[in-house]
Amino acid sequence: MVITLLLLIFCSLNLHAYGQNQNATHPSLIPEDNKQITNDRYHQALSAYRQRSYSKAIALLNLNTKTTPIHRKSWELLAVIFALEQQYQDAMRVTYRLISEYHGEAFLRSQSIIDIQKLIEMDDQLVPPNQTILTYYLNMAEYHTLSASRFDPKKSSFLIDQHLKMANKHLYIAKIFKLNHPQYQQVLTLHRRLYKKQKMFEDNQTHKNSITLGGKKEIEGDYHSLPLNKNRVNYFNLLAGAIMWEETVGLKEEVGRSHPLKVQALGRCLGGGYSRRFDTWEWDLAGCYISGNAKVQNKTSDLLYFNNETKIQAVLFGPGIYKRIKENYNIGLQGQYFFRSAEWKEPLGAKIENSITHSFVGLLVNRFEIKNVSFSYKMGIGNRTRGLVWLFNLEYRI
Amino acid sequence: MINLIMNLIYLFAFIFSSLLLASPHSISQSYNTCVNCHYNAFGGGPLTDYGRAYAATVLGQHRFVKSELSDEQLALISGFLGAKKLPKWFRPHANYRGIVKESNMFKVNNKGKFETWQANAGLTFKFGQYDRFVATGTVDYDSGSELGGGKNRRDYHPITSREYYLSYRFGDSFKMYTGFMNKIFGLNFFAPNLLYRQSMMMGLNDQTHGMAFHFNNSLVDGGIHLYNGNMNRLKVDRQRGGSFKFQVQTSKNSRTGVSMMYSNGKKLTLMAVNTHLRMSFDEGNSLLIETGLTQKLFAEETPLRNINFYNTFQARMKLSRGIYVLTGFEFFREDILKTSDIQIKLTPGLAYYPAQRLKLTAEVSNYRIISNSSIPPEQWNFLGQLHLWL
Repeated sequence: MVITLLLLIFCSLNLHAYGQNQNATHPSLIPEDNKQITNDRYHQALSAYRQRSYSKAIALLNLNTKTTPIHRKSWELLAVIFALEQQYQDAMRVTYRLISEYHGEAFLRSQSIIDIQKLIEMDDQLVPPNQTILTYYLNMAEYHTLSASRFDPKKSSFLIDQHLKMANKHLYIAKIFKLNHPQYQQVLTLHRRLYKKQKMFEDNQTHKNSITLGGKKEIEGDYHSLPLNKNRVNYFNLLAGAIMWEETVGLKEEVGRSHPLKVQALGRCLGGGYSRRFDTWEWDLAGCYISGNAKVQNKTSDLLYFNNETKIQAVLFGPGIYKRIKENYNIGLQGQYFFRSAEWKEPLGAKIENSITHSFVGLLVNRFEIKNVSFSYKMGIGNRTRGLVWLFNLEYRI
Repeated sequence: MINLIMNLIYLFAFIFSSLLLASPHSISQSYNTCVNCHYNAFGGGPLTDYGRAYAATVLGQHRFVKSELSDEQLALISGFLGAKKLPKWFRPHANYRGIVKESNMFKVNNKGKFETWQANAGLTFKFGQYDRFVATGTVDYDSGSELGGGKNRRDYHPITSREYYLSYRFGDSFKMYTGFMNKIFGLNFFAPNLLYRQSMMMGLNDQTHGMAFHFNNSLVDGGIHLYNGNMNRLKVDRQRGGSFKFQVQTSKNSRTGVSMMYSNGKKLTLMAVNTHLRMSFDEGNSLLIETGLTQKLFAEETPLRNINFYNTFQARMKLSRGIYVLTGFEFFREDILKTSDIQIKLTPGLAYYPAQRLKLTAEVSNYRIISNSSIPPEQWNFLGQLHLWL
């Protein structure tokens, strides 16, 4: 909070200084030093966006919206963040600013846009906020289609794709509510028209790339520099959870006979770790301390033994690697060193072995995330455990 | 210790609910209610045209159809007779679910068992603007599955009906139903093998005659069901009572709800309360969590009372169009008032929709009993399902 406040004060001071400079020069140009400030602010905002500090990013980008001529990247990022934050009215405001700045009359003349507006206005069942969402994404898709042909085709092709995907997603929402609606087919026709434009553009682009050596690489480079595709962050996390496993230990009588015992253990675990997240991959190193209780019973009928109050302590520690399948869902693999200590209740004249064990457990992880909290369930097998090891974890990213 | 698992899951649901409630943008961008895809707004039963189109274009794979067919064309051929148009007021339907199950699948000489869970056909008539009035009826074949009470129950007949009702929609948000249908309680997904559903008599053959009211808007969804028991059964076997379900949008991707039920019969008085959370994680991925208590008072010479506690989650993750990874978890404690066994099931699985009207699932469950007197061996059970619909 304090950091955000300081940042805002810092940015306000920058803005003040920038305003003074702007008055002293030609109003339609950004002086070189202010250009630098704007770019710096954009990069600060980009880094805040990557760390999902959207409010901080918005605050910084809002300062950049005051520049003349407009700082296009800042406005585009602002639209993306507003949409992510579901502030669609604001996203629309930003979109219209971009449209009027870059495409003006061409955009207004675009048959697709006229159709979008007409359809949405006519569709009295398409109530806000769906109306705004749909308008926003369709407009953004068209904005990037036009941008592609006008500004920087190599960069924008990916944005077109991104926004058409979003438009497509929201057309599905339209489908949900409006399948039987008379205008539904028209919306689809319109969407196809937008898509066709993109295809035409892509074909054109392919043709160009075949002539320009290294064109594809350049595009890939641009793609990776796009804010939509970067999200690298490091963090520490705390975890709490429950674990269940079964194993077999041996009971040895003083007379020398051995009997297998089965153990069913349940424990709670507390721990933490360090994670490094890339675009779609993540690795971590995490561990937890386990404290629990076990039931122990004879496995074969030549001995009768049952105890349900055996204290168990354990440590699970190791690396994991995760693949982000969806925005908030990851699957992964963990290889964990498993130390376990048990206070067996030994019957007279016998000793239970393996009070301390060292083993290895491999776990398959499914993780769901909401903001800084995630829930994961893990299933796996160990070289000393029998059956499946289950783990349920709640994690908090610091 | 056992409670720890439950506490954690509860905590999870609580933390998530409160986080989501904090979001001021309670905008629905997904399916909030079953009414889009089913004529019954509480879910289940015949599909609407939209439901058919959705299954064809979102669930079903494109692999086994002509590649030039677009999603819109697939939607257009998703009717009962494919592309052939039926009168607007008339929709037939048919449905089949067959399962193969094998308990202790890793035991040598263990044979799988085939069962029909559902085999039905029916008609739906709809009239008025936006199908304001709907009448539907289904004829079912009852195979006498154990989950439906077996063949030895008094009201068993191989040809039966599990759903027929009339419904009328008032305005855009209210719908009224009268007829024979499933009880309205908790999350409605087809899983008659869940332990808690069997315990609270919400199995394959536990429909009831009654009236239901449904309300929904973009933020809330819910309804009340007042019922007089299954009139096809003997009076002594009927459960009369009511239930309600209410769920609210807690973020753009989640809904949280509560359900309550009270029913009374000559043999049993049943009270149940349930809370649930429905979350989506991007398109196609969802997590359902349900937890509740069921009190059963058996009217025997020595009245017997027990309270079940259960918790379940069902996760469905989309790998690609038509292929989903499933995970189910169920915790069921027979009686929280005294020392009783706990049953836990963790069920990973796979669902595959190779084409429209066809779904295949394969699930393997790791089933454990936590007892205070022994360590029962863990079980690996297999359940394969074929679901066909027209």
